[in-house]
Amino acid sequence: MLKKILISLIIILSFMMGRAFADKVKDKVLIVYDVRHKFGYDNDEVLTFKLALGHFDLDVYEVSERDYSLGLVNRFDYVFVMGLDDEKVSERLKEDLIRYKGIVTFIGSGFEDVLSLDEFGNFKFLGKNFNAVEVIYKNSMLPFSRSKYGIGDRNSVDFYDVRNGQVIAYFNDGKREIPYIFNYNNIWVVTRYDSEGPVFYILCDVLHEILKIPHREEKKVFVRIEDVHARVDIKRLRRIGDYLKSEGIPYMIALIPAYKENGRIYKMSDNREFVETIRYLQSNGASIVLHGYTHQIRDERTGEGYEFWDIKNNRPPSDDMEKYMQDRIYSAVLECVKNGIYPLAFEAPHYAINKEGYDFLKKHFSTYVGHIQTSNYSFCTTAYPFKIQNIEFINRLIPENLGYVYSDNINDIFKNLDRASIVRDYYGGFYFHTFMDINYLKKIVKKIEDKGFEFYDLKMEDNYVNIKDITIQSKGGNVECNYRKINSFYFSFNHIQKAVSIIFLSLSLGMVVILIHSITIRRENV
Amino acid sequence: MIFYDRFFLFSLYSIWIMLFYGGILTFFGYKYYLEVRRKKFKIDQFPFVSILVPAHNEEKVIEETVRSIMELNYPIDRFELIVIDDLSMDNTSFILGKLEDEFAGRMKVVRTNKENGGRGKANALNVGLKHAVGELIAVYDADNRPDKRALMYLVAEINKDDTLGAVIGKFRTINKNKNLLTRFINIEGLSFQWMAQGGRWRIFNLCTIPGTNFLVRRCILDKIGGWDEKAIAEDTEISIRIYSMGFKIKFVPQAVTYEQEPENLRVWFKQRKRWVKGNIYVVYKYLLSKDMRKNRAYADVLYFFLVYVIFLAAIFISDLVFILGILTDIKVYTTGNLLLIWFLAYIMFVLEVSISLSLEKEEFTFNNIMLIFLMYFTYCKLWGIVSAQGLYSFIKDRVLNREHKWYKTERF
Repeated sequence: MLKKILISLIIILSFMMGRAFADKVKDKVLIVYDVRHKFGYDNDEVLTFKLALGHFDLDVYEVSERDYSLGLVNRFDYVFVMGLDDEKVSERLKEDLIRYKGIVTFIGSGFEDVLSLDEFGNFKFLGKNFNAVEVIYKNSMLPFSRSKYGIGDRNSVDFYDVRNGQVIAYFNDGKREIPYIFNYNNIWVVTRYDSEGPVFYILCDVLHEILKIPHREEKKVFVRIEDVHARVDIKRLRRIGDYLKSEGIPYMIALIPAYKENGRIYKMSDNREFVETIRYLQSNGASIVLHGYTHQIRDERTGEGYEFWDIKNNRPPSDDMEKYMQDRIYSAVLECVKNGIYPLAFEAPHYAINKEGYDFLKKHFSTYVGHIQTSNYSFCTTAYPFKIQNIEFINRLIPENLGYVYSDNINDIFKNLDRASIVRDYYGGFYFHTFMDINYLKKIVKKIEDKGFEFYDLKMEDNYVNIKDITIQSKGGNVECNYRKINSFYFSFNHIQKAVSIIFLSLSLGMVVILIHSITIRRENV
Repeated sequence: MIFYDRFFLFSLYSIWIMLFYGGILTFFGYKYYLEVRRKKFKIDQFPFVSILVPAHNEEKVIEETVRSIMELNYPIDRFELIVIDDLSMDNTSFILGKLEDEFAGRMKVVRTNKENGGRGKANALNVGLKHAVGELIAVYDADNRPDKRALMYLVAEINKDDTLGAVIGKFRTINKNKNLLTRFINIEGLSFQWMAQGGRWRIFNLCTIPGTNFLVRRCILDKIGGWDEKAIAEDTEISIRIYSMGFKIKFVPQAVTYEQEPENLRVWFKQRKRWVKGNIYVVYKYLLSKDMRKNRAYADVLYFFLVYVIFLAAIFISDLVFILGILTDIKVYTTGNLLLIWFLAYIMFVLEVSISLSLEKEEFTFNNIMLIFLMYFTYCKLWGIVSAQGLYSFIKDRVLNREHKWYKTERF
């Protein structure tokens, strides 16, 4: 009981504080959940959903049903009740919800008692369906182009008879249409929760409706050249860069600034040709994303190993992640900056990093690219279909969700691209290794262009990297770096250029003055 | 690739330094102009001057030259003219004989023979020097028309200051309106004199003796043993030696002479190639000399080295980078606002030359300014070619151990 009161107090206090300090009062959202994980899975699904809400500018709080105290919902504009374990809703919460005036969304299962009440639409529970093979969405808006997607697994779906409500999306088991998302007055029901696949994308899109935040239709895709380190084939890398440049396509380079092999670290400074190439690409359309320092730990090989997660033992690589990250990330950023290379974002190797890692990154990087590891104890990640900002993990996420080319698998990427059409303000991207045939890349680029998606240019956004004495900033395509100790050849070259321009300009102006003076004075015959 | 980039950077830096130097010279040249433009010359002593004019097949011009010198505004008993007829095969000897009679007592003709002649201008001057009695030695080329007051101005200047080893005047182009080439040469000559001579005098108290229209102390020539006969550009070489003795060489822009410039590219090329080789000879002779290194004159040697070796290479590299960039995939990674700097450099060039022209009567014209814009891409590039050829030819002569054959500029 004491715990409940405390948690309620903390929640109330924290958003009173929020109200006191925030200029604009954000809508408040409460997630009430039964358990955090689906049975047998590692993903923290409450977290995956909470992060998805990061797409909208909201104050999001979470509380377990056990810790829920009477009357709490009334302080929120929106309530999401998540049922991951098929447990029935507690009486306490049920009573509150009946009186609640805001918008309630039930996600998952175990709601048959509540939904049969008149206040919640009097929906009749028809049992569980195990045979759904397709999910259909937006068919009322697009009657002739019903999108069909396989749902992936054979898990059950709660089947309701939706006489009163409006069905937004439904499953198909070959015989019947089984409502997936439906709405009745201020009640929304999402009969199944998945943090991946088309079902997740549909929910992400419907969230715009539920929260009444109608974002503009705008779809953006990024191209990322992956695992670029000093041992990659520079000619191939340049060819890819030149191709993208010729197509006018901005792209990212996931850069690994040091290469470890046989126990020795080779920094990219040792390979001027590589540095030159990256600098060339950087000034010809590429935005640099820092992809770790060595992309490995212990004796692993660069590009293969994990760096911020110990995959063998399924734990963080260090007990002092703050220090571990500080050492590696600072070395990496320094190695870049002293070679005139300016990363604008971070991407953890294999996307594997835990909360402490994110905490560090949030302090130093404006932007993270990739998936989010949505478990603190296990390596499992979530791919989002849109941009996420100002969440507790990161400042801004540019999600990767189209996958990568590893053999003749570009059809998978095409399929993922089709799925991207579901979300109105879809952001996403794919990555491509330099050792793959460039023709795959060309095909994918063409497909993206055919679909009318825009290519995303990271450096056009306001990004920053801020670590110790180094500051990098980008704005509208301009990248600036401040580092007091910079003495690099190239950095000084830029300064020399500026100085020379200024000197020449001053000399020219001085000469214009002299010339005018000379013309105006009487010319003597000397 | 990185190697290629370094080369490019090296060339950029060299070009920028030279451009900067050019800008500074312009400022000081102008400053010098302001200082001297209303200068009044006072002369109270008239030291005896021997005027040397080397002549080798100069029938077209020699008579006019002798007459101009004879009409110089200087006491007629205080100067003598010594024309060195260096194995002329044409009518020069006859004309000189006639003139010798006409100006008997004021003019000597020294004729060389196969033993002591035909070895170039430096040799001819040394031969003439033996017959000279003046305490000051003036030199004019056989195609010159010195202004009447030229010699007086030069003497007045050298009288005033014992630290001056030599004084030089200014030349103007007689045939500047002949064609595009002579117009370019005229512009080049004027800006060179105001920047390199005037500017350098103002900063370093140093000029390069231009081969004509200058005055040098006899005692200095005796001490250094006359002109270096191996020097291809004897005037530059002697400037370095005079300067290294601690004397100054002053630019006196009021002392004007008019001279003929090459009217076609073939002659221009030969003449300039000799100059280039002459300057490179100076670099060759003094760059590694330990005595010279402690001397102020070493700066000039270094300057020639910069111009004819470093700057030349830089121009060549930057052009190569430009051409390869257009024709092939070879590109430099060096990025930045190079175009802006290039543009500023161009503007600076135009302004520098314009300022020099604005100091001269009737030179600061619309046509001439248009020519300056054009010069950057045409005449200046020709200089690049000449310099490269000169350097190549000099190295070839050294490797094959050949003596340089003195080329006398043809007259028109």
